[in-house]
Amino acid sequence: MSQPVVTHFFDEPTNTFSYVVQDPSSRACAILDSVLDFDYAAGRTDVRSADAIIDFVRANGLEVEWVLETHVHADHLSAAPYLHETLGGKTGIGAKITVVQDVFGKAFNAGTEFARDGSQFDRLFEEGDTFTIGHLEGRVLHTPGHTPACLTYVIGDAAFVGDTLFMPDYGTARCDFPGGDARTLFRSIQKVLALPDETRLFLCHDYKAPEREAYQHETSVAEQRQQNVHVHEGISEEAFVKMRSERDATLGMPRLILPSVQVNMRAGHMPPAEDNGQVYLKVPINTF
Amino acid sequence: MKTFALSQNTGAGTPDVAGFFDPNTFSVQYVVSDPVSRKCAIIDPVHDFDETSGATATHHADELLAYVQAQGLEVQWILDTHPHADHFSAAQYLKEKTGAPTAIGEKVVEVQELWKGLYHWPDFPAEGSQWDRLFAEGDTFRIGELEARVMFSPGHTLASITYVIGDAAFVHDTLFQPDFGSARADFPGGDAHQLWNSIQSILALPDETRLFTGHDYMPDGREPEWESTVREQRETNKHLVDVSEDDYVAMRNERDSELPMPKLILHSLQVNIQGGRLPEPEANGKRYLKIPLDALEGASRE
Repeated sequence: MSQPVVTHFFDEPTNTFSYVVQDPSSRACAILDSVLDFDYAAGRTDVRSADAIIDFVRANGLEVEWVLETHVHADHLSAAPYLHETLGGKTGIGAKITVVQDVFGKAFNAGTEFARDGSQFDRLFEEGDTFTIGHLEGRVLHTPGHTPACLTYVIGDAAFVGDTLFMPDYGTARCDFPGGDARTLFRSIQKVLALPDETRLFLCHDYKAPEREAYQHETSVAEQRQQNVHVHEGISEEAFVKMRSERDATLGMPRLILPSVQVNMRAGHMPPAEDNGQVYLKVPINTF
Repeated sequence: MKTFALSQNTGAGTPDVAGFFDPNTFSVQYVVSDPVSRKCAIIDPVHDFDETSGATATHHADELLAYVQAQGLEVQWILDTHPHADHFSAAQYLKEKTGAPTAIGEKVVEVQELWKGLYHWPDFPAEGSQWDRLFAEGDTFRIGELEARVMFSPGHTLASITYVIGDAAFVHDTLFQPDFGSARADFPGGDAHQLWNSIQSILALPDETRLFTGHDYMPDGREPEWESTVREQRETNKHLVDVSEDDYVAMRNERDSELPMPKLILHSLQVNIQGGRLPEPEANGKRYLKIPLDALEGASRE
């Protein structure tokens, strides 16, 4: 099986991993789950994280074929438009983004200019869809549960699982956002765990489990099956759903959920400027 | 954690001062009462807000109302010292509950003008009509039999005022407790020289004047405190002892350049320049705050 070269980029303020996935036999690559830096207090955006990816791509003479998202993130803003504009490639996300766009389009009272049909992306992926990165073959698993639109990208022997599984000592993603569902997540995770044992799994986040010193971004199917504290072999669907729901009830919202979803539902584009040329994000009061 | 303290009156013409600490925003709210007439004023009340979820609540304001009721007080004034950048004012909520008039410093119109542009509210009346009274330097008013006087104290904001009520002065964001120092002066309209001059005017009050500050950040993990005296501040304030005006301004500007913006500044000002009113609902019946992107000058990175 072909083995992509995977380089990770970590954004500590949001605990997010972005990836550059390279075809070793050509110059082709894909960028996954990029981050636009955002200082909420000052309302300030910055592209230093995305620039680190751009520098890497240029230094290695790579050609970007895809700028992909595993889902509409609720904890950071996507830098996909900036990367797409700077480096080219096609943007892609799960086809069920339309469900997310509908829910959040209403919550933010977005104008009619905001299409809820996913047309902000070049490609909308369904379960089983395939694509290529140079000579590498990519395949899409629809893995909802954290959100209705979550995908796992399987590229060669690597799978980019988004917010499904985290490191074995930390567990799994929460399921309490609009459209999330613990039972659905459990079934999605079974799909991921049905991949070959040695499949490399690349995570979207790490929060360092208690007593672990370093952030980690990579594990394997075998490790997850044996060791994941939430879903190792022997844990039933019922037990998982109960644990997940109880735990989610104790979690606070991610700090950037309100700024993030209104930008990410637009494929990372900002809302249209007002007639003074100024862009504003909206904070719905007493809605979430 | 200590979140309440009562500072008893010190004789005829002086108020009882109940302080209520909000650990979420490190703010101190006050109920200042005339022990003779049982009339009171509420100063700098907090309307709770969670910026992560966008949820508002009235826990702190309701706590003030419960105290007023339990003590048999009557609210005569709802006062703000300035348009706050770190919390929403509960003035409007308390006015709806008590019917008492609201007030703030008259220079609030300049703050309104400044932020009206940032929020792009071309039709917003930047004229202070959102309050029942606008106070100028030297204005006086009464709380029952207590005499109250207004000192204009700009620097932290260009509209900040100090309320001197009997032997008590509500200095809000000028001086903090002596072990913490003084307020920052880098928000739009702030000025370290002006803050120094305002602090000098406060320190010219009688030595035993009780000073009640607007925030406490609990240095070295100590319990919250909010009361000091002019004498204590003059003798021990860490930003002022043996410090010249020029030294102070240099220290203040250098320190401010390293501070991140308060996490609610963009959320708060749009509520507080409307006297504590939330934005009007959109056509779907929901209210939205606006966060201008890449518009606030001089903000240091988090």
